[in-house]
Order: sequence, then structure tokens, then C-alpha cells
Amino acid sequence: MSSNARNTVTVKNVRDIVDAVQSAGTDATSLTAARRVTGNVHQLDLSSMNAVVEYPARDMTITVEAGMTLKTLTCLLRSEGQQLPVDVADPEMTVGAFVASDPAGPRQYGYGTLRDYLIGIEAVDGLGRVFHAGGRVVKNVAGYDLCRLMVGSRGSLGILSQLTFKLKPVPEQFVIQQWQFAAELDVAASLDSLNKSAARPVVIDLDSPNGSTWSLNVGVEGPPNVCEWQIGQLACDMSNPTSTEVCAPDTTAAITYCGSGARRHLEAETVAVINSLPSQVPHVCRIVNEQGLSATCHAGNGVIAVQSNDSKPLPDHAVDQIESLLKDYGGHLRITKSDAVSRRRAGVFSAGLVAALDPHQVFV
Amino acid sequence: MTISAPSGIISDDLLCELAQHVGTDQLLSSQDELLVYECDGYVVEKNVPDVVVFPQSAAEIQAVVKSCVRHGVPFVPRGAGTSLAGGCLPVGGGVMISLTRMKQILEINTRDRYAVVQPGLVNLHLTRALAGTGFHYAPDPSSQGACTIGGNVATNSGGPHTLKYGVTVNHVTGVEFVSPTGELVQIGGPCGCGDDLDLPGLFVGSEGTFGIVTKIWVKLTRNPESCRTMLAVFDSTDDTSQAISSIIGAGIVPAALEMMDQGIITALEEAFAFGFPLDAAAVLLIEVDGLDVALDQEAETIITLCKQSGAREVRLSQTEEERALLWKCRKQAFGAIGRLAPSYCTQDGVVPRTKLPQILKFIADVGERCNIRIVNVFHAGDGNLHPILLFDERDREQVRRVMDASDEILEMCIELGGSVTGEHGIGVEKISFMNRLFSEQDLDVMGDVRRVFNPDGICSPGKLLPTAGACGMEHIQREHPGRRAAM
Ligand SMILES: Cc1cc2nc3c(=O)[nH]c(=O)nc-3n(C[C@H](O)[C@H](O)[C@H](O)COP(=O)(O)OP(=O)(O)OC[C@H]3O[C@@H](n4cnc5c(N)ncnc54)[C@H](O)[C@@H]3O)c2cc1C
Repeated sequence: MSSNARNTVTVKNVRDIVDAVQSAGTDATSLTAARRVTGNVHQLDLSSMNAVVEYPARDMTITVEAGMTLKTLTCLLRSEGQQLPVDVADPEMTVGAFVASDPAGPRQYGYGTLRDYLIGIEAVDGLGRVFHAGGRVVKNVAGYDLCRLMVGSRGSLGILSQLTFKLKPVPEQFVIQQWQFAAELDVAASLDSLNKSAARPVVIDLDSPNGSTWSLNVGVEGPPNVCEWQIGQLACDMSNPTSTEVCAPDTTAAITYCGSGARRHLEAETVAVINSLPSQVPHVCRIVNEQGLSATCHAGNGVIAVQSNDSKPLPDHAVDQIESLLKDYGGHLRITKSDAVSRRRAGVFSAGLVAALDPHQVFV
Repeated sequence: MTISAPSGIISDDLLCELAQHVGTDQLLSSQDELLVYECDGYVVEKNVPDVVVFPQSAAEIQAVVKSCVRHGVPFVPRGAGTSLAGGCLPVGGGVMISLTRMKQILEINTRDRYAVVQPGLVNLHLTRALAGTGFHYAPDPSSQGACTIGGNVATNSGGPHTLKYGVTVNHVTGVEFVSPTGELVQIGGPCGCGDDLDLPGLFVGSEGTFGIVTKIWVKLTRNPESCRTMLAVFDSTDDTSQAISSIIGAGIVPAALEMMDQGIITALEEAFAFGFPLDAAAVLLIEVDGLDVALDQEAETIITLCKQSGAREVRLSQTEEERALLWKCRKQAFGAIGRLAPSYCTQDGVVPRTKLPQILKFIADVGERCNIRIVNVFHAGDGNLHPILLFDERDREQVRRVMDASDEILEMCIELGGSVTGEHGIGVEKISFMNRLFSEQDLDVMGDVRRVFNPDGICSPGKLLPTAGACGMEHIQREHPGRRAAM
């Protein structure tokens, strides 16, 4: 373990993480493995912990250290025709940070999110306890499922040091087709049809920049003949499109599209993220567009990123309007840019879990 | 129902309170009626609860729990009682909360692909209610005709089709529960958890130790357009394991990949006269589903891989009736075992899929060494074994040998990098394996997590963690030293 003047602590193994956590506890300083750090916080650099612990490719699982970058992981898996089918917003991000932040991109419609792939963890909690959960087999119900708890926990419960994922095969082909529309009613009708399409899309994204034009990007996978058949079926699902074009003609382009779709949530222009019911997406988009803001949506999942070119926040009355709509069916609105510091809306059990695993508030 | 004088740890006051909360006709307290609830599908450990209540609403459950807390009496939830790990055992006695009267489907929304159900709803009843909508509820435990969705949530149940579609946790977006202190809490919902921690993900599989589930939001899955179902026949179990490995290794994810060995085939043939080859060492039941346009190619690849691995023959189901019969055989395999021996014990170990040849050989050796007949029917695609140890429970010596053999098998699963339970849970049955799977610190952290939900340990004591809520555990340790097997 070494540290430099900028309060960066470089760790090489889990023991180093334990030492760093324990000294932070003693010194009453805060610690994070996140890349962006503000204030008087010690930053853990896990980039040296980047080894493959085990990759039994025929079992379709992999165990890696948390400091491995997503770029390295993706290359490794590609060499075996396998993938972790969760869209990568930033290839330089570490696997640990990926799990802690749980960004979800366009393919969550077909593949789910990281919670569906993380099957084992090693982590260090705020007391410096090294703990494990899950294992290295694809099916396992022994003990509490702390893996899922860590997904999206943003470092509040512990520092991840090792992760095991189950994997999927890379499909033969992955393509994305785009349809444009000029009326909200047609978008809504097309989304309704897609829900019961004869095709089985893995991506259903909607761009609603201004309330007068919409584009629907739909991705399908499989052998070329199966993709072609599905695109034909999707065309039948669309209600009065004004035009259609290929958005991503091959797997590389489609994966790039998905990466930028996932990145959108992290961009400075994204002022809020909404979790709605899929059927309500056109309605929520209209409210957003009426404020002069644009909405880019993983429409199949009801996830909407609200974007503003000039970083203008969502006005309070729009927040109220959206929140009252979401309240009716249990949706969520998260403001990502506001004067107030963005705080997690945690219930009593979440707060209890954070207090149990990080009683001295070592983690920021 | 009759209310008898309270026994054990239940005072007159508590009994009166419970009767007031649920009504006298929704409460059992006489010994003969309670006997039914002394165990679940795991019949080795038995303990009669002092009272069983049948609440019909979350509010009634809250009232029951609050009374139990006030009187310091433990309580345990129970669904259909099909647990194979003793999850429903009332360790230390107390109040059993049966959820079977809360079995309504509260909402079905196919446009947004979710349903809201009460915990006592039988798994299969949801899929039946969805017939004709083009959607189904994917987790399909073999016990789905009896087990409840609340029980599935508590144990994170799997099933034959979870290879492709995932287990219960992959299909639950929200849970409402009565906490062990009596509060009604909702975590997640139809739109997930938003900005909060993934509490539903943690709750699923907590085996009744975090509270009583009162409402569940589940995802609905599109029905596949079509499927192809194959039966591959092998002369050796090694070849069968090789075929499993080849299929998975080739990047094919079948909807189901189930293995049945000769012992099971014989029993099934007697029961269903399907036409299984009685001289085969094992058969694989393989199903691929999805778009019809893709399936012939996938089926062809699988047939080729099976033949390359040494399959004697691969039959493709030609009719829906033939497919249905094959699945009936698989799902009722446990029922057919009654033909082989008076008692049986099912284990639930998991190994990495490539280790199947090793573990199957090991199981055969253990059977020989312990002089116990063992047959296998299991979720091969997940590496989730169900060795079934056949015996006569009247013979104590046989019982001991079954326990020894089970221990050896599960220990080997751990040694091969696997786990002692893929879907049945730890319950009381496998508690003594927890400190072999996990370190003391792992268990400490899990204990802390449990205390956040269940601070006094009176909700489902004696389950899942070796150090959990002490009441009653001493009794189990004394009567059954070491691990106990599900029989
Ligand atoms: C023949 C047979 C085949 C089986 N096949 C499979 C299979 O393929 N896959 C599989 O996963 N399992 C299988 N099982 C095991 C069993 O069916 C599952 O574990 C099932 O989920 C239990 O459901 P249940 O309603 O019977 O729950 P119970 O047995 O009543 O309870 C199980 C656990 O859940 C808790 N619980 C029940 N309801 C609630 C609630 N409302 N709130 C909180 N906790 C609750 C109980 O306290 C207990 O810990 C099989 C069992 C049998 C007998």
C-alpha cells in the first residue's frame, strides 16, 4: 500500500484495502474507490488489482479482481465468444466501480442488469472485515444475497475487491433499426405493439428531443436470417412511421450505440433520471418536452434520461407534475443536477444496512 | 377449529390476542390439529408449533407479529410447506403464520409486464391465470402445482426453465412485508427501487428471517413463440456430462437441460410408460425455445453435439402431447421414486458445470461405499444436482449411512468449487455447512445484516445462519449431531 500527496492510496491486494479502511477509521477520514473525488477524501486506487482470478470459459463464469478495467474484461471475454451483456458507458472504468454504480444501458431490455449477472463477491466493509457472498457457480442460494445488495450501492457498504459473473454467449449478429415518427399517438401505439411483437427485441430506445419528432431504435440479435426476419416483423409493429433507416448495421456498431446509450446517464446534460412504467413513457416525455428539455429513454424498461443542453434543471412545477404521476404507480425521479447535493433516497432498512456495515462512516 | 388451552410458551393472554386478531376460526391450537404442521418437506426434524394462525390481510399479520413481539414469542411464516430444508420448522415452538388464505392475484398488467400477488398464491395458478395473454411467470419449480410464490420468494426458487430465464430473484421487482417488529414495509415495486439499495434482491432468499411477505411484484415473461424438445439417450454418464459441457461450451443456452439416470428412468417408465430405454445409463431432456425461425438450426446443433459426445440416439418430440408427457415425467419424477424405496433423501448441491463428470462418478462411488442406492434427476445445465438417496427410514443403520453419504456428497461439491444448495435453501438442514462455505467474518457480516431486519431474532429463529437467534437450536444440535438430511 502506498499513498501520495493527493491523498490517493494505491492498493495491491485485499490486505491493503483492509489497512486503508482501518486507518481511515482511526484517522476519522473518508475513503472512496470512486474516480471523481471532492473534498477531504482519501481515494483508493485499485488499478493494480486487475488480475483474472479464474476464467473457466466452458462454465461461462469469470472471477476477476475489482481493479480490472471493463475494456480488459470485454477483450478477454470476446476471445472466448462470451460477454457480460451489460452496456459499458466507459471502457476505462473498473469492474468494481461498474458494479457499485450499476449503470444500465439499452440492452437491459433484453438482458436485465448487473444484478442478474453478479454471482459472487469479496469486499471489505467499513470495519475492515473482508467478507464474501455467493460463490462461483451459476445457481446458489446459500446465505444472504449480499451480491445484489452491493450492486448500485455506490461504495456505501464496502470496497469490492473481487467479483464473479456469469456470462452469456456473444450472438452471431446484433443490429439496430431506427423508425421516425411525427405524432405521439403513433409512438405510443408502436410501443404497445412492440410489447407483443412477434420479434424478440433486446433494445427498445426512444428519443424525444422536442415533442414534435420521435425516433425509436430497436435492436435484435441472432443469426443473420433471424435478424432479418425480426426486422421485417418489427416493421409491421410500427404505426405510421415517417421513415426508417439502419441505425447500427453490425454488432460493432450496435455495441457502440449501446455504450453511448449507457453513457448518456452520466453526461453533464442529464439533469434527471426517471423510472416509469413503460406504458407511461410517451406521457412523461411530453411533460419533459413541454419544459424545453429532451428525453432519451430505454422505453422498454421505462427508464428516461432528462437532458438539457444548457444544463438548465427540471423546473420545480415539472418535478411536481412528474412525481405526482409516478406516485400513482410507484415510479421514481432522481434529480442528478441541482443546487442541493444529490442524496440517495434511502429507507430505514437501507440506512440500517449502511450503519451496520460502515458504523464509523468511513465510506463517502 | 377449536381453541385449546395454550401449551409451552404461549400464555392465555397471547392466545386470546391472536384469536382476536384473526378470528377463532382462523387459529389452531389443539395438539391433534397442530401435528400437521410439525414439519415441512424435510421430515427429519419435527417440532409442533404452539399455535397456527391463518391471517387474511397484512393488517392481521401486523397485529399477530406485534403480539408475538410483546410476549417475546417466536413466529415463523409458512406457505405450502414444501420446503426441503426445514425452512418452516418452528424451532423453539411459538406461532406459525400460515399464508395460505392470502392467495389472490391483485393485479395483472401485461402491457407493463408485471403482476401483483399475495404470498399464498400457488405458483402455477399465476401462470394459469395468464393463459391466453402471451405471458407467463417464468420460475417453475417442480413443486409449482403446490408451492406458493411467498415461499418461492423466501427460498429464491429455481426450476427446470431457470437455466435460460433465471431464478425467482430475477423476476421479483418489489416486496411488501411485515417486519419482525410489526411494521408494514414496501421495498421496490413495479418500477424497481429507484435510487435506493436493491433491497428486494437481498430479501429474496432470506428464508423467512427478514419478515412475513404480504405482497409481491413479479415480472411477466413473454411466452416463447415455439420450442423443440429432445431426449438424448446415453450409454454412459460420462458421455452425458460431456454432452452437457459441449452444449453450454458451444454458447447455446437451452431453455432447459435436465438429466435423469438409469434408476430414475426405470421408475418413470413403470409410472408413465413413456418408452424410455431401460438399458440406457442416462438421458438428457433438452429444450430450446424462442423464435421458430431459429430453432431448427439450434436443435440440429444440439443433436450433433450430443452424438459427438456419444449419444446412442436423440429423439425430437414430434407432437405437443409427446412433449407434455416428457415434461410430466420430469416434473413428477419425485413422485415416481416412491416405487423404488419407502423413503428418500434429496440433496441440492451445485458444482461448476464442467465438474459434472467428477461429481457423478463420486456420487456413484459413495453410494457403493455406503451401500446406499442413489439415483439422479437434476438441473444439469446449471450444475444443480439432486442425488436422491433411497432407504428405509425404519432401519436406523441405513439412516446413518444416508446421512454420511449425503455429507460426503455435499463436501465434495464444496471441494469442487460449488455450493451445498442451488435452490432448496439452508433452512435448518444445512446450517452446519455454512461455516465450511463461509468464513467467520462472512457469517458475522451476514449476522449484522439479519439484525437490521430482525433485531431480536424472533422471526424464524434457528434458520440459515449457524449463530442465528439461539432459541431452540440447542435442541436440534443434541438430537441430531452433525448435519441432517432431507428425507
Ligand atoms: C416434490 C418437490 C419438488 C421440488 N422442486 C423444486 C424445484 O424444482 N425448485 C426449487 O427451488 N424448489 C423445489 N422444491 C422445494 C420447495 O418447493 C421450494 O422451496 C418452494 O419455494 C417452497 O414453497 P412453499 O410455499 O412450500 O414454502 P414453505 O415450504 O411453506 O416455506 C419455505 C420457506 O419460506 C418461508 N416462507 C413461506 N412463506 C413466506 C412468506 N409469506 N414470507 C416470508 N417467508 C415465507 C418459510 O418460513 C420457509 O423458510 C421442491 C419440493 C418438493 C416437495
